[in-house]
Amino acid sequence: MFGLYGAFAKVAFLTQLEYRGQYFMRMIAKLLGWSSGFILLVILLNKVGPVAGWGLYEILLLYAFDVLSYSIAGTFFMGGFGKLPRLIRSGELDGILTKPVNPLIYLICTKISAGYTSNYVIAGAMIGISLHKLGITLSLYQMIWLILDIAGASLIQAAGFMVTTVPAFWFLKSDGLYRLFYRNLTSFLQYPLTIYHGGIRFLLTFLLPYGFINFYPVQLFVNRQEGMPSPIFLFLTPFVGAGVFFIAYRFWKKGLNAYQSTGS
Amino acid sequence: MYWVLIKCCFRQQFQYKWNLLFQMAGDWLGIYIKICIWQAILNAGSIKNINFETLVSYSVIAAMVSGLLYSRIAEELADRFRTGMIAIDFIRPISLKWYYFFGQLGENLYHVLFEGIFIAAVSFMIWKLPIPVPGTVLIFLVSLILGLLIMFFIQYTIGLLVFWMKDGTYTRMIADGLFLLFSGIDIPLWFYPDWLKSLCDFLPFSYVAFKPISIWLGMQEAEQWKKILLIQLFWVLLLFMAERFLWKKIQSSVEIQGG
Repeated sequence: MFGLYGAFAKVAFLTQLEYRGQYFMRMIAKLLGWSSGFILLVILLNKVGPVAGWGLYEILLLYAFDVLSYSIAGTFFMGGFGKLPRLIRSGELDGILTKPVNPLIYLICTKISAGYTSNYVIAGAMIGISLHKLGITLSLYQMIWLILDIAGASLIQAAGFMVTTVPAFWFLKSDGLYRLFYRNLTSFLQYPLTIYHGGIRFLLTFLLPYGFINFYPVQLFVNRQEGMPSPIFLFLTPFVGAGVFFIAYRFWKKGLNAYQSTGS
Repeated sequence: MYWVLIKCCFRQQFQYKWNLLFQMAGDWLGIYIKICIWQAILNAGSIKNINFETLVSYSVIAAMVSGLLYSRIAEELADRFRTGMIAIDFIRPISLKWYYFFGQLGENLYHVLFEGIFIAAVSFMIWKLPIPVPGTVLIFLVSLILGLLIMFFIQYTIGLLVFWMKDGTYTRMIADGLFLLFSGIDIPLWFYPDWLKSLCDFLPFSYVAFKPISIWLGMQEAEQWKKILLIQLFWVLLLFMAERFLWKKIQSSVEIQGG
């Protein structure tokens, strides 16, 4: 079974590499697009110094966590869920449902995206550089936490994609939801959440737990404990990730059921 | 049967309203984030010569400007090239370029008037932001329009490159990336290091966002704004010629292929 899904994913990936020129263009565009965010951050913080006590490399670390987990989630989920409303309207989804495979895994594997590889490089390098400049050497224990945190953060990002696009099953469109509850709300993550009003922090911790993507886990590595009720928040990311992803999966199932029972 | 139709129409309307509401909420969040960042930076105390009101005004006006700059031209051009529609555009009596320009401008104006002005008015009231004298506003508007023309020509010219590049999304991403870096739309150029600032002076992008906004903020003396308007005019002409040149080139190569 895994062999089959693997084959789907491989084909989807290789198709995108087929047109070398186009792939190259895409890399340059993405490289420029994503590094411009980092560059602007460096420009600003070089001029104004630390923000809310956080230095340049600490904030870069926050940003890199966000970009890396977004890109990992994007590789697997953006292709399928970004286009979910269109897949539903065009009827392509019905085709998927007739296949004797798990529709979610099928969707992920056939729409896997090769466009995020440049982000891995940028964000990975940023994490490396930031840790180096902060004089932090990771112990094995921290290394394991880094990997668990990135995995958990990617699951949170993926759950964010899913929960904000799945309503398309009922409303046929979900662009507005996706923009507000995913795009706009995750843009808080670029800076430490302590610079915002307490209500925002509450929202991003308990209602839409985007804070666990970078703000809480990163503090484990930079030795801080800000804006959290208990130090246990430093370690919650993998659990929150698994939890919200499970909820998102249930929600997707529910949406799919509602869609199928309309009968058409 | 009719009930279904009514339900569908209602849903569609509902969808639009929600979309608008979501978009407004999103725009507010964007401005709120900016304001928190400026507040945190000013609290740190390393910036002395710029006050809070100036930074907030800058961010609010920049949000309006970027609302006016939204453009799908690169993708649409790519589509037309792919489907061959472009062949018809060669023989149309109306210029494709101006058709796009006014179409996009109309759409953007609708959005900016509908929600942008509202957001601006509320933020100007909440934070008691200063409004410049009518003369300055007028100069700002002239400079803004020239800036829009510059950006439109850049987008259109880059859109035409799709003829060789084949894919519109990425040509647009490159234009957007350059704009974000060099225009000052996100971070005012005051915060840029000097060498980068002088580089921005040589590129057209800062004449779309930073220069018009600093006219609004009254940071330019009379001498300077005249110079800004002249340089803007220069860019409009230069880009206009570049676009003409590319268009001719495409036209001739299409005709050669098409016979």
